[in-house]
Amino acid sequence: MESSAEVAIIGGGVIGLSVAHSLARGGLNGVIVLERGYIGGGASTRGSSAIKTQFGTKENIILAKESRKMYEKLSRKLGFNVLFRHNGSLFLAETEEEVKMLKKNTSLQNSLGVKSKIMSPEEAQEVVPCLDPEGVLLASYNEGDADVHHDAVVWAYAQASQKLGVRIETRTEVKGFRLRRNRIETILTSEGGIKASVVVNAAGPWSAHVAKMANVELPNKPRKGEMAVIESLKHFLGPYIFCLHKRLHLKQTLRGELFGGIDNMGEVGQGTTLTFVESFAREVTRILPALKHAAVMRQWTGVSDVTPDGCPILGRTDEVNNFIQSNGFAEYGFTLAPIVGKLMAELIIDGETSIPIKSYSLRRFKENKMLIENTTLVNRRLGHVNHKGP
Amino acid sequence: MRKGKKMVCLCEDVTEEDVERAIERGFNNIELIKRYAGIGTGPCQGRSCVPHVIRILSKKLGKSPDEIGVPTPHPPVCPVFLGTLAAGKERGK
Repeated sequence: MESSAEVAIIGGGVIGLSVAHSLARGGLNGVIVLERGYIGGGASTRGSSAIKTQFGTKENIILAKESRKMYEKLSRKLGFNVLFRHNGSLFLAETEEEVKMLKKNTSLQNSLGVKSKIMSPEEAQEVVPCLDPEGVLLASYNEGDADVHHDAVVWAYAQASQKLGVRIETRTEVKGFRLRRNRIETILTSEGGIKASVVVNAAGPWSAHVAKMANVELPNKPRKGEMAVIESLKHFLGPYIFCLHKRLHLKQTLRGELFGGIDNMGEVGQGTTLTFVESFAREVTRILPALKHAAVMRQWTGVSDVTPDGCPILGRTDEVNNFIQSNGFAEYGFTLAPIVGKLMAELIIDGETSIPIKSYSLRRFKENKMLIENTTLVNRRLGHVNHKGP
Repeated sequence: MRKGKKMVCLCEDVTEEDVERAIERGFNNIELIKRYAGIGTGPCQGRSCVPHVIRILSKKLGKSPDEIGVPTPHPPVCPVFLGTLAAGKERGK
């Protein structure tokens, strides 16, 4: 069966749904979201959904700052409680290289109006009283960083979009494209063909695979992360903790569970491992020794979408005129989702964006104008980082 | 007996009425109900609540329990202390 749409968004994760919602709010009719599985089923609802501004790239800091502001009003805007709260974020450095990085990032953030501050291990202990400062050389803390419930955000965007007329097709896999004169004419899906004027690639870890079907090469690589949840405890942990050295991240949810993981665990497709849960336990009990008597209840894996410079790809594609990229968000797609939705909708409806996105173009890899998001790249086992771009 | 008092999930304090309401709101498969209502995410990890949720879904949607299925199982089989997991030697060293 053949149907048609003004804008077809490939990927029903937080990015695709945010783009769909902004387009519909901007008055565009005929928006369709194509999701291979169920909404949010890829990376969106498998990570820690920290709404942080502690980045190392000017561009990312500017977007993250706007995005966090938009999150503050999201529940009201979408008519769905996404459980937003300012819990703060605390980054820990354990090597000299990481210390340098945190200092550099914090002063860059400050220069852009993001109020993160450098802390000594003892000051960090005041923020997280049960933190063992042994081994920590320096910390950076942002009081205004926040947390949301990832499922709630995904559902909120989906329901609000549907109310505005967006069609969300789940269990619909993109199988290929019919191209004509440097344009995508028809999207071929498992449920039939869809003619679309504009196609947005928001397929997360599957973005490179999707782009390839339109003869577009993306440098994105999928990376595996593993996570676990620890039983509910009385609330004791304020901020989201990110330990640069082992890439451990941890937060306490509103239900009291501790939710954390390590985001560079080997090859994609391996499933959950004992190696992960053991290293996770070692790292968690090293920084928070009191947790040795808390139990791990469940573990799972997720896949993120990482570009060679750790920054997303946003904007039009040179080779295929009506193909827009919105992918490569590594572990922070959730952080940027509201602002990225807004900017992509501006690009599609008005042809220009209120915040410049030129530096995020796919072209940057060919022109050797890579951005470097050090918080994504530090201590990562990313085989392709040392290689030249595509 | 009052319907609202029929407990489905003791870990997360979910009643039969809560599950029915979730289904009515469109969270109409077992993975979605798990995420929406929290069933199967407490210390029992679904051992006591999942059969009840399957029963309610099956009745409400007119599907057989086999068609409803179970949520994807995740390790560990039972909760394990972090201290126990951390006590082993680092693998590959």
